[in-house]
Amino acid sequence: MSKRKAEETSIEMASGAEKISIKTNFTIGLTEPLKEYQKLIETEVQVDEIVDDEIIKNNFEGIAAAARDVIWQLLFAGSDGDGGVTSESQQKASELLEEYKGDATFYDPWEYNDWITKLRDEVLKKELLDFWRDTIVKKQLGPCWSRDCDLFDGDDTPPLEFYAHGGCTAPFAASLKVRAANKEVRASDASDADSSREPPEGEERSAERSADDEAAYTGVFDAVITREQPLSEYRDLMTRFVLTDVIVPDEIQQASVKKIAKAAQDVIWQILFEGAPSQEDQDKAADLLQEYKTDSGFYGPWEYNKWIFKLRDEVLTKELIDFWREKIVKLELGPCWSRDSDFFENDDDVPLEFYNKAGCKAPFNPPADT
Amino acid sequence: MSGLGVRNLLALSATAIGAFYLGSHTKRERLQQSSSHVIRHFPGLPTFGTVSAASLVPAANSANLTATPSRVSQIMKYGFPGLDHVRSHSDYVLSYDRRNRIPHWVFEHLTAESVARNDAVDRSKCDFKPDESIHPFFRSQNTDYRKSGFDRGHMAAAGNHRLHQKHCEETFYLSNMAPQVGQGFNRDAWNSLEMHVRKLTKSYTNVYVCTGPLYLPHKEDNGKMYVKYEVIGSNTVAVPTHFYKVIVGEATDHKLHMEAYVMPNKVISNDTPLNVFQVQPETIERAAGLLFFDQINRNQLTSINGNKI
Repeated sequence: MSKRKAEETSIEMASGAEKISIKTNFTIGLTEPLKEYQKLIETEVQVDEIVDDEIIKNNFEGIAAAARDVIWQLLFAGSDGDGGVTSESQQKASELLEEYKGDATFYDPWEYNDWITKLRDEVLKKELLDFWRDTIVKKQLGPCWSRDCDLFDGDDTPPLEFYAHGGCTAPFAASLKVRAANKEVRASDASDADSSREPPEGEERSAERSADDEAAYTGVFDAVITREQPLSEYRDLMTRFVLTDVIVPDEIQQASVKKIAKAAQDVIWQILFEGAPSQEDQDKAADLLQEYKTDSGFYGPWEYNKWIFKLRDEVLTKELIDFWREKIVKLELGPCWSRDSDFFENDDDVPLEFYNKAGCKAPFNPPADT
Repeated sequence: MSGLGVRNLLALSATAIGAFYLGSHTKRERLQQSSSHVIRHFPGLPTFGTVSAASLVPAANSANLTATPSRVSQIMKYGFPGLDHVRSHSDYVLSYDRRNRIPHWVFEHLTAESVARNDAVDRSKCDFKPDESIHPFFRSQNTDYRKSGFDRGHMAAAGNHRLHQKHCEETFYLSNMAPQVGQGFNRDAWNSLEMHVRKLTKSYTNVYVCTGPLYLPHKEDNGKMYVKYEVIGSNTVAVPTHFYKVIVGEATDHKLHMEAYVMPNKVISNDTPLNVFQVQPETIERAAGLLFFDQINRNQLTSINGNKI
């Protein structure tokens, strides 16, 4: 139990709730019953402060009782069977009844369900058939049930009988019939539909994939990258043997990354330094170098950061000045640093030096504070 | 100069010591006062005896009205999915998610007897009520749900606890609720699933079921995945995107059968058969961050979702 007592917090949180207390009688006038009712609910029931649940319940019961009285008065007072009830007061009763039912579904449907039957009987006795048809039946103001209230569920009996008076039926009778019919169909379906399931998608590919996964898991695979399509071959190797969903032991995954990186280095070296590389060759090499550098930034840049110096020196020795200027310098293919990789932080060294060859400069400005 | 320093030091230490004694005195006073009050017992985590998975739990012939250790270990026979804010009630066990103001999971053990119609249990006496054993910061209230467009949806269903009125009433604590779409879900499709679980007690001696919410990610137009869910009321109660049930039935021959369902928290057409919502239990475990029926090796199961293993 924490040192801070829940009780103390409750008191703090309920400080705004002092105005809420148990009242025993609420009254609602006949002139604007809906407004008065809503205001009472708002101030005495629907409060955000933490108030004892009993108080809320009592208040709702009190307000509900007042609402029932007013509805009864509006409908039946002064009507001695000769239609002394004005359409205006029927209108008021109808509005309030609808609002009250809405709240009853949430706070206390039981009381409503008892009383609405009495109201119905009185309405029919007094032959207020318009009110019966247009308000109670049409707006479904009969007993609360699973369609309008979360205190009920599909196990409960729908209040069909309530509406079967004065030549009416429940507005939802038809949909219940359809539902019952569906249920029967379903029941007969269920008996003959045994698990004849389609295999999940990708089933036919799974054999091939699991071979790759096996290789990824063991690290046993050949990393081959040729001069023709170095970038897509590199990507393919990474996708199949490194970027799998299988959980691979870390050292095996690292070894696989190293193996593929080594293949990338070798093919770049081949393309650039075995014979004179065409423009197309240089583009290919640069594309792969860029991708390989990006991956290094994620998997571990140390090997790249060593090797790229060797590559640079060889490029300059072989006087591939275009490649140096247009690719390595312009595309920032030098050592990884905090701009490229989360292995570094801002106070790590910036590899400005690397680019200061053959009249070039680093393509980025050093951070302001260095 | 130094004299002044000493005097200051003395004054300071006297104040400190005085304050300490005053504090401890008032604390003692308070303790004595509070001990004269009745101390409320909140459901806690009892100590468990060892439970052998080889023995079938006999159906209880009398209803425990408190969360007795024996009842709790019966319900939790196959392991706890997690241990965050566990509360045991007389007939179900719950883990409460204080951040989302709804359960992480609830666990129930059903028998044919405990789900049978019982005239001694009156639903109309049950009332949705805030759970005062939850700290007020993390409590959901009726006001949060009112006019939110969502039902107060039971995780441990009322219809599963019919041995005694108290069992049923305890399922109405708002700590056992989550916002559920009403028509088309809570009162229909989800209710059908609950009825299905109750029906399993006809085929199995014991039925164990774990129920809870999920907040599943979805891909948005930019191709990225997000978890997005509404929160309602001034207590920002989370509206889960989905709900799950993982069920184990113990047959009379001691064989174990598992079923697992995930349903989206939205209107589901009435003619959708339940087995559409069956999924591999592992997928629920991954999504929920929990392990269900951890004490059962999956190879010991005879079937999952009706398929032989």
